[in-house]
Amino acid sequence: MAPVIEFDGLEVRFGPRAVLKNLRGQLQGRCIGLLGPNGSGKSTLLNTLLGFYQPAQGTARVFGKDIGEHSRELRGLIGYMPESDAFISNLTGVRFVRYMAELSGLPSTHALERAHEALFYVGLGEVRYRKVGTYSLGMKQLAKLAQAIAHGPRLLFLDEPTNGLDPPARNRMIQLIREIRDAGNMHVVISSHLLRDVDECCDEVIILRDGHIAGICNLEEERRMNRKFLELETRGEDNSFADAVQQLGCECALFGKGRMKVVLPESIEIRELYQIAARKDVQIRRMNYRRDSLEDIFLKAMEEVGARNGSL
Amino acid sequence: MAVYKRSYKPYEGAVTPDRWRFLVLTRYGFYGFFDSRLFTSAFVLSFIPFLVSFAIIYLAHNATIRAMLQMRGPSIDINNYFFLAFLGTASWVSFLLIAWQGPLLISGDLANNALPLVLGRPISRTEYVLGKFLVIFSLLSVATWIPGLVLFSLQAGLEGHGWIWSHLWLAGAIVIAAWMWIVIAALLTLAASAWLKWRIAASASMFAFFFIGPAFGAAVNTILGTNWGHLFDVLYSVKLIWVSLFRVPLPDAMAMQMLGIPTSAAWTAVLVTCGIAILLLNRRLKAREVVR
Repeated sequence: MAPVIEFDGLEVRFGPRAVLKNLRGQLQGRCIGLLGPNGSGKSTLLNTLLGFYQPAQGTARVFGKDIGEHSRELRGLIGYMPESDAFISNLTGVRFVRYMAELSGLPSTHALERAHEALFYVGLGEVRYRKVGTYSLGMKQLAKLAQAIAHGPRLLFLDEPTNGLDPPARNRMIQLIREIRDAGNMHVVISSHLLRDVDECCDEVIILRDGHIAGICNLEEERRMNRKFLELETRGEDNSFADAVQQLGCECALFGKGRMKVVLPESIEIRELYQIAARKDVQIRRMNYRRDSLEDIFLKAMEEVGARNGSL
Repeated sequence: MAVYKRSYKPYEGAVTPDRWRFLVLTRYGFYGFFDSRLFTSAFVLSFIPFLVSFAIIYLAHNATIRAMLQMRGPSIDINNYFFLAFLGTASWVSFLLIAWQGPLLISGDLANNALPLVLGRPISRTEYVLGKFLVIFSLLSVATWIPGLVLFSLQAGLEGHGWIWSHLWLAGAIVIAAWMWIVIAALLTLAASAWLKWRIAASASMFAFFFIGPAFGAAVNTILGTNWGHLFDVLYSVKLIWVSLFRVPLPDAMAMQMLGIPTSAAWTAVLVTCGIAILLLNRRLKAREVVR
């Protein structure tokens, strides 16, 4: 599958401070999650892909087109829903969405038709003749989504799409994103620090930390592998237990304070772990079957980068 | 897709030419202006100077109607002074209109962070400014140089005898003088609109610009005993250029106190003002094109 977004040593600076540092990698999912703690560079990355910031070094390509050379063309292919409030308060919903669609290149009549459709689609059909300034927060989020999809972009950037939404509105938004993902040929990039949102929609994630790529993970592949593992909590462990488990043929990861994850091959039984623990005088206080969740992937990426940077 | 089918479908239709897409901004700018009934009424009223001038030209060439209206005394001369007076009045009336509604042009986009939505599309910052500029340019054109040329044509038609050829320079003066005024007014309006969210504050700042400049210039002239303080008064520079364009004779120009600085210096002052307005606009829009 052709990559949707490629990073080729992308670096963005605000004055002397590097905000995105030497990003390299490819993203090819239908719905890509952009994860990272606050201030990790998620919004900066989206703004750079939109051409608002010029790379100090390297570049990125969207659908194979360089963001520096084809910035204008790419903006026509992208729909953008920013994180904060973004609307023109004295326009009605339908005029606002139509205006944005026309700016993206749709002829006036088509833009009007698409504006009605997009507003009905996101659930604002009944209030489309009300001024956007009178909408509630949830309605404004939906109006932002409507203006982002009205012109039929190939790539949709959603920056914190569920920000400030109550649970029913959040569910509606997630449902819409999934429908959009499954409906056409549109790719979606969701920037969020809410793992649950990303987990429910995305098939690939890129994790940023301090402007670096902390990890790129194909969630779909992970889910397909459906790999179960054992989560152990031990007492008296001094790495000899983990070494012995690994010698047995298991994959083993330690997380400190006696916590570890063990991927058990089918040929090995749990009883053998207890036997090793007894030999090594290690108490197994807790043992659960689990699957790798997005939270685990995220935390692991954060810890790996932290260890690499020497900050943890 | 039909509105009742709530499923997403990509757009596969035609798109408008990329080059002229900024005109969408102009069109929606007009919608915004004429949404206000007050503005629409005021815009209609701004044609009063034109209608009055039209009537004066007609009366000046029609002795029968003058007699019917019992108008005695010599008729008004339709000359460069007449067109200068018309343009001055029309420009001020149209400026009042723009000072009231113009600040909404950009501040409306900045107030709730709509600018990133606009500039996140295939529209550059320059095209954005050009689109908004054309709103003001078109409105002021309709109120100033276009009626000015209509009056010129009327006068030429009624006067006959080759008047148009001997006064063709007057048509050029009307166009150049009006365009210069429109460019200054439009750029100042857009700069005020970009920097001040409140319409009243933005409108007030535009008037203040024309009052503070002369006051500062007068202070400089008094303290330094020079005439170069007039450079801080853009309105003075505009008047000076107009007097030069409309070929007002030297004694009359002196009577109008329009000989303080050379015309070239006045042009420079106008260009510097426009340059500063463009810099201010660029700085503000660049800072606000992403949501922070």
